[in-house]
Parts: sequence; C-alpha cells; structure tokens
Amino acid sequence: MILVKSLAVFIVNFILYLAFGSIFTVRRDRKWSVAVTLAVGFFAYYGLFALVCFPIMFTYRPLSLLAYVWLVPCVVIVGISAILFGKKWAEKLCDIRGDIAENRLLFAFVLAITVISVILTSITYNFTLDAAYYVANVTTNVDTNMINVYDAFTGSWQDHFELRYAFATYYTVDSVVCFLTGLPALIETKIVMSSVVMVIVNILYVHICRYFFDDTKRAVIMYAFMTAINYMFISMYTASNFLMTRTYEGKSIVANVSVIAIFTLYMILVKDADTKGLFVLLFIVCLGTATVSSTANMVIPAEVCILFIPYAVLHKKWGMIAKTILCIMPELVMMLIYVLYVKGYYAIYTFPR
Amino acid sequence: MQGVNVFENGIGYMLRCLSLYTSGTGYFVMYLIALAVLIASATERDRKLFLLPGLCGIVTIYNPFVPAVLEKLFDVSSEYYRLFWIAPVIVLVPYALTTLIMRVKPGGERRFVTAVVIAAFILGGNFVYADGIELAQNIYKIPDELIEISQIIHADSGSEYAKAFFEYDYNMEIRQYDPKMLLAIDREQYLYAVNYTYTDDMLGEDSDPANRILAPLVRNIKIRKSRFTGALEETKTQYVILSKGHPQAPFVKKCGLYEIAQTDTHVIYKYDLEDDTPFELVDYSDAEHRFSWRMLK
Repeated sequence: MILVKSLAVFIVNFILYLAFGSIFTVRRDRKWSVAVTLAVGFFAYYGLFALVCFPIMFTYRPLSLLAYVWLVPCVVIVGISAILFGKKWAEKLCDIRGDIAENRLLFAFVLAITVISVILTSITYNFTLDAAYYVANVTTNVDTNMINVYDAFTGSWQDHFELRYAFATYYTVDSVVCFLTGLPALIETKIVMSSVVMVIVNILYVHICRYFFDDTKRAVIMYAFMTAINYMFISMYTASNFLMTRTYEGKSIVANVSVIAIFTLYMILVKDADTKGLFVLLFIVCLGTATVSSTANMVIPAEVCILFIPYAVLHKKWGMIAKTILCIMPELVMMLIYVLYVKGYYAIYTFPR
Repeated sequence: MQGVNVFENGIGYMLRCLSLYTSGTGYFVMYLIALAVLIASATERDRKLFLLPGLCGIVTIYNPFVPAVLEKLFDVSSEYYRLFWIAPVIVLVPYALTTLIMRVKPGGERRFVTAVVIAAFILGGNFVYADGIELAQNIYKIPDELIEISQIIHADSGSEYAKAFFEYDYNMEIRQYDPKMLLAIDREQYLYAVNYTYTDDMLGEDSDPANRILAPLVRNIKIRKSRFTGALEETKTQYVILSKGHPQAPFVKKCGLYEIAQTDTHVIYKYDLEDDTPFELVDYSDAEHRFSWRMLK
C-alpha cells in the first residue's frame, strides 16, 4: 500500500508541476518545452506554497488547516491548466511520441540511467546530520499538527520560530503531503521526493544535450558524460555528491535543479535573444528556490548576476539589469530577514505576546 | 567547510576551499581547461554561454579577495564552497569532451581518443560507490534495531511520549522515524560535545542539565551521581540507550537506572522519575491567532 501511495504521490507531483509551469510557459504563438515547464512548475508550486503557508504558520494555526487550504489552489490551477492547455499537452504528447520513435537510442538510454539513479538513491543508506532536522521536522509537524512550532531535534516546544528553517517551506510541503496521504515522512522525503528530484534533473540534462546537439549520437555521448560526472565528481561538497547521496535535501535542489534551471534559461536567452517572458520564468525559479533552502540566498543571486548582467552589458540592454535584480529580490529580502534574525534583532513568536 | 576559515587562510582561503571541494578529482580542472580552449576557438554562442560568465565569475565570486570581504559582512567560512556549484562543470566538460571525440575522424583515431578521454575521466574521479553500496535495511532507510528500540520503549512507557538519551547516530535518526520519542540532547549540543567545541569546563557548568548528561555519557567525564540523576529529572529523561560495553554502563547502573531490554548491540536503561507527569502538547485552542513578533535590539 505504501508503494502504491508513493507512486501516486510521485505522479501527482509531476501533474502539479506541469499544471503550474504551463501557466508561465505555454503560449499560443511559441514553442514550449516540457523540461522548462516542469522545472518552472516545480518552483512555482513551492513559491506559491510559501505564500499560502506563511500567514497560517506565523499565526500558529494547525497543519491540517494548511493542508486543506493548499488543496484549493492546487485543484483550481490543475483544473484551469487542463482547460486552457489540455490541447497543447495532448499535442506535446504526440510530439514526444514521435520524438521517441525517431530517437529510440537516446530515450532508452536516458530512461535506463534515470531508473538506475532513482533506484540507487532510493535503496541506499546514507547517514547525514542535516536529515536530523529536515526529516524530523516533517514527522514533528505531522505528529503535533502544527507548523514548525516544535523543535524537530528534540520535540520540545519553541517559544519562537527558528527562522533558519521556518522560511524554507520545502519540508512543510512534505508535511502536508504526509498529512493528507498518511505516507511516512522518511518515505516521502527520502524516496518519493528524491525520485522526483532525480527525474527533473535528468529531464533538464536531456534538454541541455539536445540544445547543443541535434544529432542523437552526440546527445547520448554528452548525456553519458553528464551522468558519469554525477557518479564520479564526489567529495563531501560537490553538487554531484548532494544529488547522489543527499538528494532529498533543499541544498541538493538548489545545487542541481535551481542552478541548472537558471543556466537553461540563460541558454534560451543566448540562443533566441528573445527576452519575452523569460524574466518571468527566471523570477519564478528564484522565488521558488528561496523557499527551498536558505543556501539559495547566497548561491542564486551570484549565479543570476554572473550569467545575466555581463550579457546585458555586452548587448547594451540596460533594462535587463533592472529585471535581473528584480528576479533575485526574493533571495535578497530573505537574506536580510535571515541576517537580522541571526544577529538577534527580532523574533517571531509561536504564541501571542 | 570544516577546518577552513577566511580568518586563518586570508586570500589563500578560496584556493584551499577549491582544493577541498575537488578533493583530488579532475573535473574542475577540465572545466578550467575547457574555458581556456574556448578563448581561442569558441563559437559566439559558446563564448556567451561559458566564457563570459566564466570570466565574470573568476573576477568576482572566485576572486581570492572576495571571501575576505564577504567575511566582514557575513559568516561565509562554512558556506563559501557552495558558490562552486555555480560553475557549469556538469555542462561544459561533457560538451567539450563530446565535441573533442566527435571532431576526430571516425575509425581507429576516434577510438583511441575516446579511450584516452574515458581513461582520463575515470582516473579523474572518485566513484560515489567506491566503498561499496550500503543498502538500507528497510523501507524507512534507518537501522532495523532503531525501530526495535522505539517499539520496546513505547511498549514500556505507557504514555504517548517518551524521553530518551541516545548515542550519536541514533540520536540523529530516531526522530526521523518516531516523533513521539523526545530527546534529552539536541543535535548541536551533541556535536559540540563530540568535537570538543564544548570544553570540559563548559560541560562542568550546572546551568544546563544537558551538560551533566553529555559529560559522563559522551566525554566520559566523572561527575557525582546526584548531578547526573538531577539532570535526568530536570530534563525528564526516562530512558538511556547505550551500546553494549559502553564504559559508562556501570556508572549508569550505580545511578539507579536499570536494564529493561537488550537488542543486538544496545542496552535500554530506565530511570524512574520522581515527577513522571506525561509530556503534553501546548494547547492552542484558546490562543488568539495573530502574528506576534518583537524587535529585540
């Protein structure tokens, strides 16, 4: 039963990401990519969740309320997307079928590698200190039916929110899913979400390979090298290590999904030189990433500035600099809020004072 | 990054971080070589994609002076390495290697180049499963024994929540599985005791009862029995789980704890609290649900 539920949650996640992402990527007059749509949808989902979560969490209302409230935008957005983009999805499905028929080698290879990677990350045991908070936070929220009010490490009540973690609402989504489905936290985090992340990463890799090479053989070779780097570029600190051993952590998502998604958007900019709608996508990725891990507050502004500002200067597109800075505002605001909290300037309490 | 900080390393900090980040792997070097090659031979697209951001990165975030400046604003020592994630090693190196292989004429020459590239690739890496694959013992991906201990304690406790002291690994893992197991020691306290951030003098302070649990059970510091049992009372810790042969097992027994069960490698001790009022969640039913915050400075 747990396996069936896990598979169902895994599939529903992708439906949600497709629905959320389509709102920003699918347009009548232009091509759209499933890879970019899923990546943008992933971050749109987490970004919107944070906006719904904060007022409920900071007024210490129960997790159950958040879970039921969160169902509303999910159902509405999936419904609207299905009505607006259902035809586009069906057309894309036909395109993908045709693409698979023409490039069997590439898709068979990608499928095999992705399945192997998902299995390996799901069945291996890894001891990490960070899981002591992240996963225990999910179990604690579900058990107490509160949101970040109890200390995940010990279970004791906290008089104020630990903002290092409270703003990273990625794990609160896991709490909501566990509450609604009854899935154990360890399975939701370490198996379901690990698999989701691994699949999204591989979809983005395929998109990147095909950006560089139309030829299937070359794309397969590049994809093989990308996979090999993830299996071989291992030290305690590399993005690949996080992907292969700590897949479920927010840091792994920042390092492997956000960083690659932003690079993919930059690739689109370089290829098409068309910025129409691109900075909305970039903003969504940045907004969603800010709610995944506080690591984003340092990494994402640096990446976005390094990619987009030199390009803007080179092409003398000065307005692009303002848009770039606007995109990283979620991280800059989070950084300010976080630094002020760490330096002891304020506290947000878990009970009225 | 553990053991490396800006204060001690100055402008050498960035290179020290990079060295630890790569840890003997060659892919970052391959990335830099590929960048260098791009300067001479790249298409306009590739220059914009890799060279422009790469050079911009080298003069900004990978500039050795930058961490020293950043350190004055934020504590970056532990997290600076994450900026290396931005370098698109995972894109540029595979792209460059693929281009290199496919540029060579098909036949023996290409096979040779492919073999050299693959050899360099393998020699330049640390395989993620080089030490073997450690399979999870169950679907929860925590040790079976920990689940067994959890069941034993809850069967014995009789109340919804139980509070316990576990050794390092289990202390970090138990609440991922069992949120009804409260812990006497939190993660940071345990880490600081294990890595000697807490000195013996600090652990000798009475102000925090956790010190009087950590001192004997983690650091093997001798303390009076009454100080230890007082700490158990203050923290309402009823169970102590130690590995078999733990040097403090005799001390724990002298303090009045008694064994209630054994697993393969652990012994579960119980302490009868004088005040065994069960733990209860805070009642929010009458609370006014409003945003509550205060400026503290």
